[in-house]
Amino acid sequence: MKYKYLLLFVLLFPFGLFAQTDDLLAGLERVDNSPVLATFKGTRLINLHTVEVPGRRTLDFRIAHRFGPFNGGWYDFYGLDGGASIRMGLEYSYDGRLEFGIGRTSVEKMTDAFLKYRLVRQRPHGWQQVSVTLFSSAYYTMLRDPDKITNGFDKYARRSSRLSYAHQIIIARKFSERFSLQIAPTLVHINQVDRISDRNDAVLLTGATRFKITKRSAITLEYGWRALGYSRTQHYDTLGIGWDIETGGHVFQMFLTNSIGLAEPQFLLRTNNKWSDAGIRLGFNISRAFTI
Amino acid sequence: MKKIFWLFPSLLLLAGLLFSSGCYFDNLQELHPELLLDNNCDTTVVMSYQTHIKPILSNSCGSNNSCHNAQSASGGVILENYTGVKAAVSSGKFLSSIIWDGNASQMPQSSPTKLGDCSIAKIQKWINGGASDN
Repeated sequence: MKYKYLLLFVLLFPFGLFAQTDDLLAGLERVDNSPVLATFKGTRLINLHTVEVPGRRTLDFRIAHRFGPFNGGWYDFYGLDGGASIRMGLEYSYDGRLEFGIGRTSVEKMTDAFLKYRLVRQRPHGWQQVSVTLFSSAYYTMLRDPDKITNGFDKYARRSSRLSYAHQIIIARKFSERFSLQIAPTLVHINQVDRISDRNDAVLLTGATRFKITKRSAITLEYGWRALGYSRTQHYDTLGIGWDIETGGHVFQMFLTNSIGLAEPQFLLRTNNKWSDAGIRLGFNISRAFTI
Repeated sequence: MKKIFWLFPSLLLLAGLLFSSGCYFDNLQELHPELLLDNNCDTTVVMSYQTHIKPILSNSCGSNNSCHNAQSASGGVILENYTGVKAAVSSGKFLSSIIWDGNASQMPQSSPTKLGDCSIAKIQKWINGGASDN
């Protein structure tokens, strides 16, 4: 019952539409059918993971940075003065399909480790008309209980209470040289929630797109829809609009987002700012790849 | 080359350790029913700035008020001394920002959740009692 909407969406996703070009090309022999490259430029879009995985034997060092909110006003230089959150991460793929990564987010002192597996790669012909990547991640908060003094007990007394998880099936298609689209049914599990009305499991559907405007830059957009949120406390869906700039093999991503957290349970479920009152932040992602 | 060969399995092992703790369905208010009944949250006494409010602020508004000290003063709000706290309380923004009623930015900013119910209850009582420097 919980997953009804999610299942419906997956069933209704028009996979059948992608197979139109087959007949036309059936007569041609030895057509190039190598995998479609660069559905997205990088393993992240804004906050979300993309379908991409680093290449063979590639170690990717990533820094993600979010400034303070715009509604801090002139006094806080529209958010640039402070309230920054940072994630530093190290990601590696040996074979270009299986990726492993670790990272540390300043918000909630969160350490994460994830596995990502590139199950299907989109090809120009044949049945592989979409790329599919599986993503699983665990998060461990190293925060001290801020209410320990007032409550008289430590809510993190057990180590399991610090853990949360996220799992995604990322499905993407590069429709043309310019336009790529991605959806990802997502399950987030939080081992310990605060209130009696909170849920440990949350179900989401995230969407992301990239539209190339010039040879070296693209506009990106992402959204996370909470089909089943976790809390009755006021939170908002995450929404980000970005600008990818390619600089000689590397991508610099600049964007505006209403989320401060950089780990999936944070930005997907607990975004507490909204676009309408300028609770948006400037952010950027930088990545440096090493071949080892 | 041999070193690199071991890099991947050892990183995988690290990930395995993180995942291995397993899946729990804990709820803090179920584990500690006193939170729900407010038995443990003693708000019957007169709230004092020094003993009740100040520790909450220095704990939750940045470590030792790192976000809201006189130097950084995020949003122009200083919470490391009584004068600053009183000014924020008088403007109404202080309470709005911690109870998330939509009239001010939601605080604490680096935390995606509110302060604990008990902390909020204590602050509310202190403000209702005149927010005095006691």
